[in-house]
Amino acid sequence: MSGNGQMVPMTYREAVREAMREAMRKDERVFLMGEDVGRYGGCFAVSKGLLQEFGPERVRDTPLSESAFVGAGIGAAMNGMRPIVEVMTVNFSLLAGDQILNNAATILHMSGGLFNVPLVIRMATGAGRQVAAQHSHSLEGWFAHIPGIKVITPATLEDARGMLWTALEDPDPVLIFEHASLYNMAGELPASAGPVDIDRARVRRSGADVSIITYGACLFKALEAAETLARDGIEADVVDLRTLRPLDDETFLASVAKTHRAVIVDEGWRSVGISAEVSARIMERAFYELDAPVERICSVEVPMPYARHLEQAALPQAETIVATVQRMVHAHV
Amino acid sequence: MPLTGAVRFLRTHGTHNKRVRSFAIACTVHVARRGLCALCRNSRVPGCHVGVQRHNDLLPGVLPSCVPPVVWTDGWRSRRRHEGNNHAMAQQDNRSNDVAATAPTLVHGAGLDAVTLVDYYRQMVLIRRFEEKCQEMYTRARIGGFLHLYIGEEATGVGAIAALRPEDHIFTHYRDHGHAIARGLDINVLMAELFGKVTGCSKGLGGSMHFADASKNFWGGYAIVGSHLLLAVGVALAMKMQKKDSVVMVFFGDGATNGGEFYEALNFAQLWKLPVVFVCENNLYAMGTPLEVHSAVTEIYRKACAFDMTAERVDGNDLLTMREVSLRAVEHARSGRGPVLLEAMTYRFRGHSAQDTQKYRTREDVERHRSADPIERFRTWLINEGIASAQQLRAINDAIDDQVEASVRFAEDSPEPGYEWIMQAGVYAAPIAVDPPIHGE
Repeated sequence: MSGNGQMVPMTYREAVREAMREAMRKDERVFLMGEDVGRYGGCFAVSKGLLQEFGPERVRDTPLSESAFVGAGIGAAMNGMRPIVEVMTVNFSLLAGDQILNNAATILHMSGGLFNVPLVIRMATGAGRQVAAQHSHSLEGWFAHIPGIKVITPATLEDARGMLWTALEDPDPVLIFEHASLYNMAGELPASAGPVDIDRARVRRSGADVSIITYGACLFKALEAAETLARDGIEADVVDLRTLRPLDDETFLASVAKTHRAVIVDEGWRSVGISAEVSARIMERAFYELDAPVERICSVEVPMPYARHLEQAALPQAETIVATVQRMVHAHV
Repeated sequence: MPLTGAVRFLRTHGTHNKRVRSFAIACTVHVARRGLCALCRNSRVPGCHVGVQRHNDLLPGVLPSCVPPVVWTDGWRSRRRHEGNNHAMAQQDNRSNDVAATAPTLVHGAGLDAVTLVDYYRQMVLIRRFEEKCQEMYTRARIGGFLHLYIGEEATGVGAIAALRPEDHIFTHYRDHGHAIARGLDINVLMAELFGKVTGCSKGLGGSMHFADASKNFWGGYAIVGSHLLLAVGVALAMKMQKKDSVVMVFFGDGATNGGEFYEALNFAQLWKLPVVFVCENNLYAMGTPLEVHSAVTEIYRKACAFDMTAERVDGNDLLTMREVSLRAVEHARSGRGPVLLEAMTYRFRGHSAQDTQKYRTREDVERHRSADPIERFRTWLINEGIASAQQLRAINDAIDDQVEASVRFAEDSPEPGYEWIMQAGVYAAPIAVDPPIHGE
């Protein structure tokens, strides 16, 4: 990103917070609502300080009732507000699954276009913190199955800072999945950093030998694997999907047309997941570009275990990506 | 006699005889003075909805009884006597018969002019005739999907919606025809919606369960039971934040009060004092399951007690009572004092849906309720009070028949929605990167 002004050190958490602060300053219709977002400061401390700055009308601690505060967010959005609803983790969001699927996603179409739902729901996703089988899953692929909502997965500081405002301006419901392991990620952003698009994938590293297609926290495992592979003379094109619905086919298909090999890395379970969808689209639209079968690296299909070594073994890792790519490339040399 | 003993005595003996009744009143006053909830007896929350303080707030000048109309007291007490025999109750279905047979004579209507009163009659007949035509069109396969008829419940919807201003809001459930008509939606667009035509209120995409009209703040019918209560709460939250003094009225059935959404909605609305009037249309069945079989507490309005929320049970088949109680509830919500739960006792004369064979109740049960048809009750009252003549009302019926026939012609002559509605452009309000077609490239 080019910008005027100097670079500012910032964590992913602070980038999301800055995005919310800016949104609430710019638009009085925007308010934040969820469990522990106010007095507690957010269970991941993302909204820390916002209650003091904006007051309890706009930073609302809710009862522990996912269906209620997501449903109320939908209703408020339908009636002229721009709510940001925070759900602690994607596992909890299933308690509001009915509201998201049966209401938020359907109302525009079901009413023949009478009502739209300009709602943003933020939630943490993903494993790696030893919080076991009810706080760790990556279900963004499930939500990406649903027409009528948009699903975005900011991985970088720039996206954490910039995707929220664009999502708020969108007239449709947008779900933002923030990988919990990224909140402490530190880096620098230009002081002028602002909104970014929410409908295009990005090539984060350029290479001609293999496409590693991923999103969220797995982006950094993919980039790490790409560095290792480069030492072996294999240059990887790393595609960050950024948006799981609607999928930006063009970017990853162009990458595959360049590299002729594709590996999809997804922290969700393999069966019927977003990786299966990306793979299917490559088969449908880039089959004759392929020099090797498409590979998928996903989480092992078990509930997430607590024990650290088991949890790590259940997740996609950079080493697995490296080994898979080497096998693909060497098999066809 | 200790208080708890007195209340137990009352519950056992009911209030049907004079001596017992005056004893009941004395005891209730006593209980209320002690700050106990006169019904549940164990709440010491000041202003509990059935306590004297809050009750007077809602119904100034009435006896501080926990159950406002005595007839309802008899109703639930007599049902209490059958407790423990759910199966027999389900078979006999004699519970709300008490209500229908002993409903108070209509003596109100003061302050309403004849034009308004006759218009309420017109609305109820329009709902009835429209839906009878719907059934006919359904049988002739002109209407698809599910068809949930409101027939028998007309006084509830018309009476409740009569309490609203145009700037107020309505959410309802899948049995939504009556509310739409009472809110003034044109039956042409409603029939067109049922026919799946683009001239329908939801452009033929919603069908029977999803009537809507943004211009009338009629946010639509929703078919996930209880789920829409939260949307109503959200619309109310937005209004409160926008400092508007409108009210949201949300309709649902007795079955919906067993789902978590009901409790989440009540808590949320009461916690933030949102202007919502929750109207439970208790038609005694959750689809085919009788009230006693599906709910641990059969006086639904008592469920509000847990949230210290104002609540009242009302004869939903008595149009003017329904309107009066709704007015009180709406003004309570509008004044910033928080939400209200109304339990409107009613009965649907038809099955749950058009395909329902109604094996869960007898023909005699239905006929008994039909004998207290809310439309007929109101018609008789209008005539007896000299507000309208039988001839005038017959002329209204005839005009409605013509109007309903015209709606069928309108629906038949309307075009169908285009196929753009099954492309992505119909799913999002904002243009998005539409997937190019995979085949045929």
